[in-house]
Amino acid sequence: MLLTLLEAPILGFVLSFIIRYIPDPDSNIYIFSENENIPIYIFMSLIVALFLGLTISAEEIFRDRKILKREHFLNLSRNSYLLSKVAILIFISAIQTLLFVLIANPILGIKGMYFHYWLALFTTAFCANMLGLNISASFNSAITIYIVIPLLIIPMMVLSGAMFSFDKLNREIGNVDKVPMIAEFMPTRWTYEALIVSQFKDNKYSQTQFTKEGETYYDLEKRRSEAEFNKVYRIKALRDALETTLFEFRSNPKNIGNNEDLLIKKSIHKFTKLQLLKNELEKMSAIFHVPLFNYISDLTPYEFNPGVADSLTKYLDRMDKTFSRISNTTSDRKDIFYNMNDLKLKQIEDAYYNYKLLELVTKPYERKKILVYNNSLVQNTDPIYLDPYKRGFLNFRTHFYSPSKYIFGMKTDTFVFNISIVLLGSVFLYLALYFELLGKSVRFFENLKFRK
Amino acid sequence: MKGRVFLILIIVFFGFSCRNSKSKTSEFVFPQSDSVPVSEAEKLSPEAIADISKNISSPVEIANLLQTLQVPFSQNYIAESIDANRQSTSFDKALKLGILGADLGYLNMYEKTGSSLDVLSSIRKIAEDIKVGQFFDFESIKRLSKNRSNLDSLLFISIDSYNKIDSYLRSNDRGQLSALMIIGVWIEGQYLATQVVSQFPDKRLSDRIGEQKIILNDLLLLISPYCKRDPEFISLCKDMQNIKDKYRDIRITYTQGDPVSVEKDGGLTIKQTETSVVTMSKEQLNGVIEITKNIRDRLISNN
Repeated sequence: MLLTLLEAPILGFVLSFIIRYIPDPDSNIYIFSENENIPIYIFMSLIVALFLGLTISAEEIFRDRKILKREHFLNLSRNSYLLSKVAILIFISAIQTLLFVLIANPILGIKGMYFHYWLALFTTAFCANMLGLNISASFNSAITIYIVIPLLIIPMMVLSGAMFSFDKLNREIGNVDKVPMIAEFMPTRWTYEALIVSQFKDNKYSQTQFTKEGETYYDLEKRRSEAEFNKVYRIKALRDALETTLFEFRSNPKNIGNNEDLLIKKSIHKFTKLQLLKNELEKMSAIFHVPLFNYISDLTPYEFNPGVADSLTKYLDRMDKTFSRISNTTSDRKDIFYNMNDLKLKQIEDAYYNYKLLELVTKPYERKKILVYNNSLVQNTDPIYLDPYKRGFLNFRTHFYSPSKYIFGMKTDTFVFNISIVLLGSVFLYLALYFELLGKSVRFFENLKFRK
Repeated sequence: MKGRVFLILIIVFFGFSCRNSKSKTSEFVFPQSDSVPVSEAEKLSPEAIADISKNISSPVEIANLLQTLQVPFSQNYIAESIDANRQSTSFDKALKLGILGADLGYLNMYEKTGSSLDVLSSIRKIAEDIKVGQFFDFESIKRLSKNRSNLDSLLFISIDSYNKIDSYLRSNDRGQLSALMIIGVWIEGQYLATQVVSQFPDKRLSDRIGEQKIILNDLLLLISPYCKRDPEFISLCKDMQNIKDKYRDIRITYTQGDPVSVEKDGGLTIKQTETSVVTMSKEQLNGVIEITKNIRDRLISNN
């Protein structure tokens, strides 16, 4: 028991001590913002929680099988047996992860946010507990159990989004604008994203109020990122699409003729970018609260003509200026506040804000910053500043490192949502355990083998 | 017993999470009103500005001159203390972009590919942040910097990029950033030249430094619309004025020569010859060297 409880703090100490990095070889002062290992630390701590969770639970039910056989005749409640196991595991996981966080975080200078870290680690460990109990109840030999464990852990590591970027995977698995479906089943994908997003967004520096109206540093940077992306990439792409559409319109010789002919002939006219223009203009207006293009209903193969194109050009110019103004104003407000408080802000920045994390969640070195996919434009930069587009009632899938999620039509914070999903998954695993789903399917496959 | 332990743990957690409330606003100073500086009317026409930008020696040209004089490379001249992550305001970013651009030219000239990649990476980060990254063709620059014979192409790319950035920033009400970039390039180039001349005295180099008096006037015109904008600009304008004061007594006279036809690239061009004579004493030169070093060191140390 003592070893179980000591495991976590020892691992925490070893991990954090090794990666406590100071870039300047002449300096002895540790600066949190300059430690490039922090994002990896977040990933490793979740893996530690995963391992701890699996190893303490894997043998639990298996160990009891003789006792269970004996007690089988007593008609004891299976539910209360399982719940007692779960309760013990919750208790141990909670203490282990707490000790880990209490030792490792201070060594690495991660100030505040203890509750966030503990909750993410605990949720991961708890999910691993449930998984471990399921395995423990379903296999007949201890060796099988230990073979299954790496089969579970490796995919969880690989598909967590930390080791391999989701947009650089095999095209069969990967997705352009969303996290791959298979990764959505990995608890590590959720808790890792939750911690990364939370550490970046909710730390003291990001939450520092920069304006009297209550906007924080994160708010200002987000607004600046949105305005600048729209201006530099989205509007440019829309202008290009408009040009293409106009070219397609003009290059069709049948467009020069009388009106009756036009109506018939336009229907076979091929416009490749018209749908994209329509989708994007609607999206832009909905997300960024700019007025919608007046003649949006004319963006169809029948209605489109140079007059509409001209109006759209003027609209795009106006939007360009609007976003330019937003970007400049936001940048200026940030700079003014910074200049008035630079010493204090620099201290807070050094202690609470990490630059490697910033690089991770803004993808500055990405070459293709905007992609065209499925008649819409996909933003491939600054994911942490990109709110997802509201899709369906139950459609909560978004890109990785999204700051918020949509569910049931409501916008929720990523950390809250992700942790809830993993807890929900754990409840589901408990039900699977109660109904012995895994055990039954294992025996089903074993029977298949015998029949052959 | 276990229940009680749980309760204590829960209370402790809430205690920890409470520490994370938004920072008290009483600690910070907020601007008086919504005083976003209104950009003053640009006093210079775009053509005048384009002229000035052209006249300021491109960093590659400065390095070229240093190479012609066979000055050995020195890592000490590079602004290594600039940390791309620590540039907090757009003023810092634009200024450092210029300074790093000059350093990049210097490194490319001596084919120091390793160090130039570091500088290029910093430039990229900063340029992306003020959203002018799309005007740099980083892949081409990386490729060209590997070989000294690509100097002409590099020169063209650097001038071309800077021109595009300048017109983009100006058309988006961010003209002050373009001015800062140009000043950054100039200050770093001036620093390089003055440091070299203090170690390897040469008439051509010191003449070139003396000729900067004219460029200095143009630079002051360039940033004068912005001098009252915020504390950072006030400080920079004062610095530039101080440099100008050191140049006050340095004289430049021109003598026109006869036009000469020169064959270039297979065609015939007319070249107007004129020689400038710089009158500068050793004390005056030392004054310029010293003040350039002080100002430049202070500018790059704002990390």
